[in-house]
Parts: sequence; C-alpha cells; structure tokens
Amino acid sequence: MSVDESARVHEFDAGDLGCGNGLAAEVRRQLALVGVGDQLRIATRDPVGREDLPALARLLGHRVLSLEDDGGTTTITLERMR
Amino acid sequence: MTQPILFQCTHGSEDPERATLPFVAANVAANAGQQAIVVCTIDAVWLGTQGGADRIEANGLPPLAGLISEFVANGGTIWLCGACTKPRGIGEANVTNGACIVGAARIVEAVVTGSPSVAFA
Repeated sequence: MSVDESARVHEFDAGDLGCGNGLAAEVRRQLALVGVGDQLRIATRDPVGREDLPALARLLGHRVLSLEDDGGTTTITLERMR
Repeated sequence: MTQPILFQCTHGSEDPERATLPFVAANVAANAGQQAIVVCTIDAVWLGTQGGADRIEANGLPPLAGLISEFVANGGTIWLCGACTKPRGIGEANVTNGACIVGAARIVEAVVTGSPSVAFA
C-alpha cells in the first residue's frame, strides 16, 4: 500500500481479488491500517468490486467518497469513519 | 419504500424446475408491485448470461428465457454471484440485460437492511 502523506490518501491495488478469494477480508485489513479520517483508494479489476465494495464500506460504517469505472478497472475511494 | 425481496436460485439447465421456480415467484412479486431480485448462485449464474436460459423448460412451467425477459421488463433484477461467475469464465461482457455480477457483501447488506429472502430447496 502506498501513501500520499499530504492528502492522507492511501492507495491499495486489489488486483483481481474477488468475492471468492478474499477481497472483503483484504479491504477490511487495509482499512484497519489507515487512520480514522484518512482515505483509502482501492483499484480492483474484479467486476464484483463495483457492487460489493460500496456495500462492504457501508456495512463497516465507512463512507464512500467516489467510484470510477473505466470498463476494466474500478477505483473506489473510501473514508475511514471509525 | 419496502426492501426488495431476494429469491434464491442455485440451479441451471441441469434442473429446469429448480431453475425456473424462483423466477416464477419473483415475477409474481414484480407483477404485484414489489421490488424483486433473483440471486443466482452455483450453476444458476448461467441463467444471467446471453442465451444461458435458452431451451430450459420444466413440465408445467413457462420457458425460462421468456420468463426472465418478462421478469426484467417488469422491473426485476438478477444478481449473479461473483464467486460463481469467476470460475465459470463468465464476465460482464457475457451478462444479459437486467443482470449484474455482485458479491456476498451486496447480498449481506440487502439482508441486514431488511430484505426478506426466499429459498427453494
């Protein structure tokens, strides 16, 4: 995971992790590594990410700031709320 | 607004009756003005692909492809389990109108926010 210290934005490339091979667990682990109020920008190439990561964030009590999709990669930015 | 009703479907062409019945019930819900989602897992994920429901017809039940088209036209939605599509080589390019690939978190969120779930064993 790379970190932009000035903006407190952390980057995480989830690659092709999906629902069946640990995407949720890994994203939860990455969120635990950033500070409350920091942002985690996640890139995923698995189609599940577009539907699942916002849902996971809401279930965990975090905020979805943006979701971009270029047709092959989904990038979602979350704010850790607690 | 009421929460969508989730109808679980786990079978495809190998068991036409079990593949069709969740869509029959879900289509009744959609016709009754309810938000209905068929959650396809295991071999049922083929039903949300282009041509995946063709020639599936159980005795006494409508042909599945037409039923799915009617269900979608009635506002119904089909969720395809992402952990099931991936090993079958099903990607977004194969997914039919009204269907999308989701993961367990999306389903869990629906249930914890009040969606009832209907299963056909």
